[in-house]
Amino acid sequence: MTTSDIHSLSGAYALDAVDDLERAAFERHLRECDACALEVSELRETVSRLADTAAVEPPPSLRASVLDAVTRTPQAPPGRPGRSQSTSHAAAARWRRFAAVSVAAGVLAAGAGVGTWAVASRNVDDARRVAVAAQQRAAEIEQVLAAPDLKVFTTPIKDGGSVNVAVARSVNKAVAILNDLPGLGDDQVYQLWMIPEASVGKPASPGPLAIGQTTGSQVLTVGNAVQFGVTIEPPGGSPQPSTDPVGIVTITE
Amino acid sequence: MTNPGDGEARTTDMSPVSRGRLYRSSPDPEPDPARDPNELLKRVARGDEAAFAALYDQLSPRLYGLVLRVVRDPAMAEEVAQEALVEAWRSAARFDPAKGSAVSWMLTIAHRRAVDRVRSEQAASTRLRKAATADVPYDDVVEQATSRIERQQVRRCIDGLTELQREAVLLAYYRGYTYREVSELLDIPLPTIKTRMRDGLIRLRDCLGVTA
Repeated sequence: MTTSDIHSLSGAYALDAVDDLERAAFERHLRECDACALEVSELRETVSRLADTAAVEPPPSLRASVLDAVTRTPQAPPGRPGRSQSTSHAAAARWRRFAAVSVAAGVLAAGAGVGTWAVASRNVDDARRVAVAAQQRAAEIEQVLAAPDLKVFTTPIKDGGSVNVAVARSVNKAVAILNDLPGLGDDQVYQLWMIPEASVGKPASPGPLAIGQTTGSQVLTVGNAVQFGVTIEPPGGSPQPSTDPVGIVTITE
Repeated sequence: MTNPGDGEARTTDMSPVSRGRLYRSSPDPEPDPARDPNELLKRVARGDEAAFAALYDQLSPRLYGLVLRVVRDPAMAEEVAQEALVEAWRSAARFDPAKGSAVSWMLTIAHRRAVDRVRSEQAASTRLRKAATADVPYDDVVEQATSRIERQQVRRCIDGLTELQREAVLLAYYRGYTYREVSELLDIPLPTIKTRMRDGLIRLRDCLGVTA
C-alpha cells in the first residue's frame, strides 16, 4: 500500500467499510498524520448526519433496560479501553480486533504496508509485489478471523513468550500469532505444526519461519489436527518435527 | 440521479404549514448547556445517570434507527443498540471533544457494533447474494421521508452526489458492506469505490457545512 492508497481509505474508514486489518493499519496511519485525523473526524461527523434520515422511535422497553443496565455498569477510567460485555460474541470480536492489530503490525513490520519504505527503496515493483502478497495473505487471515466457529487457543513457549492460534475448522485454516518468542541464533528457526492423532496422520507444517522471526503470524491448514505445536528446527525447516515441542496445545474442545 | 418519489416528498414538506411545524420540531439553535450533547456526555463521564437519560432521550431515535437499518431486525437492533449505549456509558471518559461531537462519537460506536454484528452473523457471500435482490438503500431513505428540516438538508445533499458516490456511501453505511463488497456488488474496480466513498463524503461534508 502506498501512502496515497492508505490516505484514500479515509472515506471507507469513516463509513466502517473496512475490515479489521485495514482498520488497524489505517488507525496506525492516523496517529502519524494530523491532516488525515482532521479529515477523518470531519467525515465521521458527516457520516453521523446520515443517521438523521434513519431516525426511528425505539421501543419504549429499550429506555428502561438501558438505564437499568447503566446503574449496574461500572465506568472505565479515561484512556483505557472500556471492557466489553463478556458475551462469547463480544469476546470473539475483541479477539478478532486484537489479532487484527497484531497481524497488521506484523504485516506492516514486514515492510509491505509502509509507503515511505516503498518510496525510499526506489524499487517500486518489488514493493508492489510484496504488497500484493501481503494483501493476499491479509485476505486469507481475514477469512479465518471472520469464521463463525473461530476458537482461540494459547500455548506458552518454553523460554518465554507465547503463541495464540485461532482455529476456524469451517474454513480448514488457522492463524498462529507469535507473541515475543525468545530469539534463536542464525542456525535455528521456529516451525509450527498441526498435529493429528498419531494413528490418523503425521504433523503438517506450512514451512519454517524465517531466520530471526519471533513475532508475526502464519496461516496453517487445520486438517484433522487435534493439537498445535511449536518446534525449533534447523534453517530450512524439517519435514517432520525433529525436536521436542517448546509449546503444544490441544485444539479440540 | 434524481428520484421521482423524492421530489414529491420535498414539495409536500415545503408547504407553509409543514414549514412551521418543521421549525418548531427542530432543535434549539441556541447552545443550551443542559441539552448540549457534548456537555451531557462530559457529565456522563463523571457518572451522572440523569445526564445519560437526557442524552438517551435526544439520541436514541437516531441511534436505534441507524442500528435497525443496518441489522434489519428489530429484536437484534434493540440488543445492539443497548450494547452500544451501555458501551458509551462505560467508556464516556474516553470521549474527546477535540476529536468530534458526542453525537458522532456515540453513533460511531453504534454503527461499528451493528456492522460487526451483521458481518459475523452472515458469511459475506450470503450477504452479497441477498443484496443483489434487495432494494438499494436510497429507496429506504425516500420511503422514510420525514418533515424534519435536518433530514431535508441531508437528503438534499445526498441528492447532490453522483449516483456512484451515493450508492457507494449508502451501501456501506446502511448495509454494513465493506468497500470490497461494494466493489463486487456494483462491479466497479476497488480503487474507484474507495475514491468515490471519500469524495462522496467530502461533497456531503461541504454541502452540510460540517466542520470538525
